[in-house]
Amino acid sequence: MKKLLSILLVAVLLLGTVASFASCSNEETIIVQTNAFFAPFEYYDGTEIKGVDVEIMNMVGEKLGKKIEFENVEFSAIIDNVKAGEVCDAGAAGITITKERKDKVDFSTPYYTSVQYVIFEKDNDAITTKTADGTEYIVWETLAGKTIGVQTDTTGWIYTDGEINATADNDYGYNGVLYGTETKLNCYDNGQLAADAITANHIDVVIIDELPAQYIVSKNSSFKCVPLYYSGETDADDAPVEEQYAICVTKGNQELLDAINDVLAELMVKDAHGKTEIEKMVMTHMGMN
Amino acid sequence: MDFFHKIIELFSTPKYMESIWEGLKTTLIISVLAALIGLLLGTLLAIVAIAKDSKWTKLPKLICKIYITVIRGTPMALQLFIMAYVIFAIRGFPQIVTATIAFGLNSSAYVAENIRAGILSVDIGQTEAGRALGLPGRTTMLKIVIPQAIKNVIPAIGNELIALIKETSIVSMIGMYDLTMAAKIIGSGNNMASYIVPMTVVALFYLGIVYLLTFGIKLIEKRLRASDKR
Repeated sequence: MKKLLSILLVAVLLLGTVASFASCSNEETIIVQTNAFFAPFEYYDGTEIKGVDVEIMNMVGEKLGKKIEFENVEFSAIIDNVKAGEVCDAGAAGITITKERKDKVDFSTPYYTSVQYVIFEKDNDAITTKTADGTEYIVWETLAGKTIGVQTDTTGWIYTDGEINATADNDYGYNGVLYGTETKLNCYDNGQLAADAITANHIDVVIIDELPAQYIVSKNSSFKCVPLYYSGETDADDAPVEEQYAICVTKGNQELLDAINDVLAELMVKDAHGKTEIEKMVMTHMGMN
Repeated sequence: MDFFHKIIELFSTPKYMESIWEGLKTTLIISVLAALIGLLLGTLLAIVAIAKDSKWTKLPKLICKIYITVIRGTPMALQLFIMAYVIFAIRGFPQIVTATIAFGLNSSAYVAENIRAGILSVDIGQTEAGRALGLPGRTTMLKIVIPQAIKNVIPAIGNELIALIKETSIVSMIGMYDLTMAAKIIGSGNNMASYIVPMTVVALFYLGIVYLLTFGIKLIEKRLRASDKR
């Protein structure tokens, strides 16, 4: 009985290991990690991951003659996985270039400029600032005392955390706009979950990148979204919270980085209408073509 | 009403149903394989745990004890994380194997304790009677103690299997496409843009699986207890 059981068990484990190594990918595959909850850059369409980043990386694969394999993981895991380089070669997930991330991985040239948006319930729109020419936005100061939802480890989280916790005495070297106010920060696994938390009355607003925000709002009639601004001396000096997306690779993987930069350079050329190939891809994946 | 419209929308969109089937497949594969590993390894652990003390069983028993303590004492989500990001941090290693092993190991610790409890629940008098009638220790165990123990163990094992199936929902944490992930995908921004409906539907799917399992366990139990006077 004992013998039989142990033999069976070993057999099961061995089979599993053999099966797994047999299907192990070889050097010819480039593994790219992403978080497929960031339409239009990456999203699941049924069981397939699609999006702008997927198209870009497939072109890179074509250029290098290698297969591209996308893996869906938690956003917060991507940078560290790419840094280690053991399980993947690159991360393409609409990743904003920040100083901290740059220390860990190599970034390609930026291919998209995004601004931070705030999602909130329509009835709540007293918090926005409206200018004479019809632009509507929210400045950080009006979020004081609110409960803000963000996706963990995204720039929305980094900025909000900074504005709440930065003081002149710590690493930041300045006082955050929301420092000392009763502002609370709730972290979620993805932007949609945060948006649902508004419906559930857990939080007041969600801070997230522009395009995902517009996606969520276009599907939920009770939401509204406007850009997030840093307030200047006067209203005219208010400026949006801008950031740039890039694809990251493990430090030292120059071949892959060069290939990505080449592809991006081709895609960034403006056509007769002043539109780049990337912008067109974004429109296609937003379903606006 | 919006809620019901969305449920109909979910069931009538091929893309969403495809997601659900894909997720259901992963959930079932992980559950079944992990349950098998759990039952086999768990039985083995239980046998070691109840073995008589001797110089040969001292070390295995200690290992067994530490194993069960560690596995039962740490959250499943963290075990899965360690499996995926530390132990099996190998290029292209299939996640389904990672998850199956993680859940199988976790389940084995609980199964081991259930089986041990079942064997201990059979009165010592039964063993003594067997031995007094001249049966060898092995035969006494196999023919007298184990058959009675199995009956006592089945409900507890069933409980563990149910817990296992539901706990597989955390594999979406490492990006696997299981039922919960299917709900997250259907609820994501480019699809329904609301988690409420897909999560509810997927919860019903879990309920369905567990109900079927409970039904099966009830049947087995009924057969085993056919000769019982209660």
